[in-house]
Amino acid sequence: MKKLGFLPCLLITLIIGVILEFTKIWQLLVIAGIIGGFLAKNAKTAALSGFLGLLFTWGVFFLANYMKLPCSFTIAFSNLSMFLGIGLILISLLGLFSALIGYFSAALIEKQ
Amino acid sequence: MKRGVIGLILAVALTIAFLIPLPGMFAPSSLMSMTDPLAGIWGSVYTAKYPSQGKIVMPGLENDVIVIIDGYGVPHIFAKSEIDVAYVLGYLHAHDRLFQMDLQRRLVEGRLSEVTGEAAYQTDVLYRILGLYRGAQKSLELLENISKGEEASYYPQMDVTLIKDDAKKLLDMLDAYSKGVNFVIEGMEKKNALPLEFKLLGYKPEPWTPLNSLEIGRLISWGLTGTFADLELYLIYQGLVGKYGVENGTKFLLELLPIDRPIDHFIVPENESCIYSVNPADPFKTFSFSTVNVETQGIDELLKWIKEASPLLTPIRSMFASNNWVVGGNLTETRKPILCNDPHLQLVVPPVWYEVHYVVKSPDGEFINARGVTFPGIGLIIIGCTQYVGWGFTNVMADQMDFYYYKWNDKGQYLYKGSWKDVKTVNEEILVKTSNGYEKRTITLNFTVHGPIIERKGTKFAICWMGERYGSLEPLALLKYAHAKNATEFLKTTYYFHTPPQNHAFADIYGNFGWRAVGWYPNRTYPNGTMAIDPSKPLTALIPRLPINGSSENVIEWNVNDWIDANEAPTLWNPKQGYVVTANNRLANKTYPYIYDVAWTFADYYRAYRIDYLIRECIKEKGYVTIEDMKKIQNDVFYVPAAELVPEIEKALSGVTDEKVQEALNILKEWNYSMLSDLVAPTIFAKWLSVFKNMTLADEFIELNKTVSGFTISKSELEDLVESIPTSILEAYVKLEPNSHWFDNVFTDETENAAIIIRESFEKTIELLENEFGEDMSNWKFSKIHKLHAEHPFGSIFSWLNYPEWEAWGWSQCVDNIGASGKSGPSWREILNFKDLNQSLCIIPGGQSGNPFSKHYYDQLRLWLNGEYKHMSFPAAPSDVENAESTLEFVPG
Repeated sequence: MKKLGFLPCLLITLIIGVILEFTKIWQLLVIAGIIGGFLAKNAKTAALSGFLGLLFTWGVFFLANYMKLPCSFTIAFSNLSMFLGIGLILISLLGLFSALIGYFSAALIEKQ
Repeated sequence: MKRGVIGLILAVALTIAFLIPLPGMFAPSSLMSMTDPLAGIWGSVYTAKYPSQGKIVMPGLENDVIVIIDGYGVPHIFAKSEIDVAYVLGYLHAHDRLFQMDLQRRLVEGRLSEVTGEAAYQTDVLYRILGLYRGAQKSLELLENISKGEEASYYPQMDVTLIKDDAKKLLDMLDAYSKGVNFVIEGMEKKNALPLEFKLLGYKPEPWTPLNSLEIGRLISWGLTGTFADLELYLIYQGLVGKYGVENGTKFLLELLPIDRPIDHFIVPENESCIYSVNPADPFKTFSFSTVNVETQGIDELLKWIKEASPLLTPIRSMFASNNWVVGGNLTETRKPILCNDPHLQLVVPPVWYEVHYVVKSPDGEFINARGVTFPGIGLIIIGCTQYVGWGFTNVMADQMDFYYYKWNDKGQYLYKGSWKDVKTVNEEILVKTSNGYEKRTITLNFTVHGPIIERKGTKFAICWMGERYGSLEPLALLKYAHAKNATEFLKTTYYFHTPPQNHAFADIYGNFGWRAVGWYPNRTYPNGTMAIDPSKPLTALIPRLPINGSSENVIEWNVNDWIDANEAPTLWNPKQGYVVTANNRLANKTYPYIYDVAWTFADYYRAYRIDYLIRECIKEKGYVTIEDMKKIQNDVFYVPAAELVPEIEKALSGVTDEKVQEALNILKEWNYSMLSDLVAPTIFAKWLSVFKNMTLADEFIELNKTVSGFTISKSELEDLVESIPTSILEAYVKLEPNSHWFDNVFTDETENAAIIIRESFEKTIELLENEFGEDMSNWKFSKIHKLHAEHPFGSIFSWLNYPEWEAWGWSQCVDNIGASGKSGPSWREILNFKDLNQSLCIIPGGQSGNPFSKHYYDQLRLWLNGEYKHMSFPAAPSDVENAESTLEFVPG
């Protein structure tokens, strides 16, 4: 199987992540990370694409939230900035770990 | 290969750590759920604002309803029936205050630990015992019975046929209100837009029911009549009797808490007589006071537990107060009455009140144009005004709660009227949230014939509280207030307001005005029906102040066949004085025959006296009062205790040469007694008063602790007790009995008097303030100790949910009564102008919305703090609403 570089992996993680996010079950985003990592050419590429892929996934939705906000940015985001930060850090870490699951699984399958 | 396996295992473990749902708000899975951009707390951002134009299809509505939300988030409802108003008000309350409503009903039902876990378990146990929910159920049953034309068994003097239709209508309104709330709950759940508090706690609200609205009413009643003061007094009494014997012990108790205070100010002026109807058949009986030895250690434990188990939502020790006054047209610039009210309740986030205006134009010609404040959870205006009549409330401080103690045998039976009786037991389950779901705990509630038993260390009391024991009809009274076409009709309808008794100041557009201490008060009688409390024998006034011997053959009980009903409550109708002032002060002198029955924990005279004084000054100066005068009075921060006691401090400190003491004294001498944030004098005086009280009274109780066997009082309970002794009583001792034995420090050989304690306490105050704020007195500004502390239930974790801690002025006992803790104060200020009601004014301390992302979260707070107001207009049509922000059209589905 042909292994992919950073950008394609990132894009795949991001697209699958956005689709899965619509289920409103954040746990399913693990699948996006695993698939992205599975296709990555090395562990570093997998980790980075997983980390950034899910970071951007939630980032896109946060941005959409901001665009649609019915109240002023100052009120909403000054109060929610802590949550925003926590959320982005956690989802990025989840992306990283799940991508590594994908990568190491692929490596094991290949060796067998 | 090996490296790959280890990497895979590690990655899987770390991923699982994120996915496994762990308990607590800060577990990774909880944080992820909360922050999920589509399913997390962001949903509540979208309900922060109503759309500028919206059409909402609501099944169950009778007709179209228009709602205009104004620039302060206040809804103006235009409907064709009161049922539709209730429906839409349910919608609006839920939209803006759903979590507040849910939290309060959980508190009443003793179900907080179901969502918060162990932390709230003791609170749940306490509330299950108190039984606010049982009282609410009885109220619902009472309404249902009356709507069917059945008699109210415990209110036999009430003619229910007169209110049968009203009861039916009220039940329909409660039902419509619940449907409105549930419509919002369903909608929010579908859109994932439940308030963020639900997401933080990880649960969803259950559907709202009519019973829940009545439960909220019970919570208010508990906040205003629920007090354990009888037990506190008993604790002191037992100590005093233990040391000095019954006669002297009683004498000392009455010195501390006199039945008639030496300095006081009554609502009914001296030259005025109040009207009331009295049942001439009420005979009085000579009272012989007896005591039974109850272990005080148990009482102390009980009081400690109650304090710990009482959440911020309903403090047991009342920090609530209120002012209302009404000036008749003869003394106003407009020649029509002006009515003012500022109920002092908790300053919390979101505020206690939700403001609303509604207009009903029914096809049968009925027209109501009403505005005022509601409690979220109850679809009725509590305080407010219609196009005819306006009203404001202060707490009567009524005594609707007694405690009974008994003789018990080895079988756990109690002696009642000569025979041993079994306690009635009821098992209830409390679900406590745990890391694995829920833990089911069963508690057993025990009841005697007088009520539920509260127990600690073998000390048992039955609680006889009106709010638990009997259903009540105040929602029905409130419904009828909106229909009163003049003050006479209004006064008639007050008959149905049972609990919590409230001083109703009222006025109408025709110029009538007055006051009534509205409520139903227990008539305590002996088994043969004779009244126990006799105003000609003041010692009988101790009966409702102390626990009652339930095992006595001559047991004193509430006579439900002959309540002291609202018609027997003291009333002033267009009084000669030209105005009425109430500020939780004593109602009347002893010529009112039930004065010792109705209440005893009256507030000090200071606020009432000050308001009275300011009104008289205006009249002396101009011959009338204006709206501007009323605004100034409501925001007055003059501290009467300081005006009365600073001269005494000056006298006591004459001859003291210490530089620091002189510097502080000079600051007090130059002071105009205003509790303003940039002054130093308020800090010195407030601190001194607390130290002075403590140095005067604490030593006696510490001595009792050491010398009386079986008497125990904890440090915190001692501090509370000392603080609860009315300041006016100490003022009276300083001025009238400066050599009273209370000033003597029992631990010294010398005999101290008032002057010595004043001097020593002043020196101690300087020392304490220096330790706290440094030696430079210019740093002791009042703003250092007095700030607004309006907290959200989650405020200790997420401080951004609290209101800003702005500097506050005013103080307990000022007219602008922002309590010492900064957590209580005027929860609503209204000034009703009966010349033109559209020129009325109002304000709440915060904002309409409970959603922290709304611009109405605290948009009125700064105005409120600065003593400013917003217009309280009564637009008759949607197009007349000023500063419309949003127009919502509700149509039947």
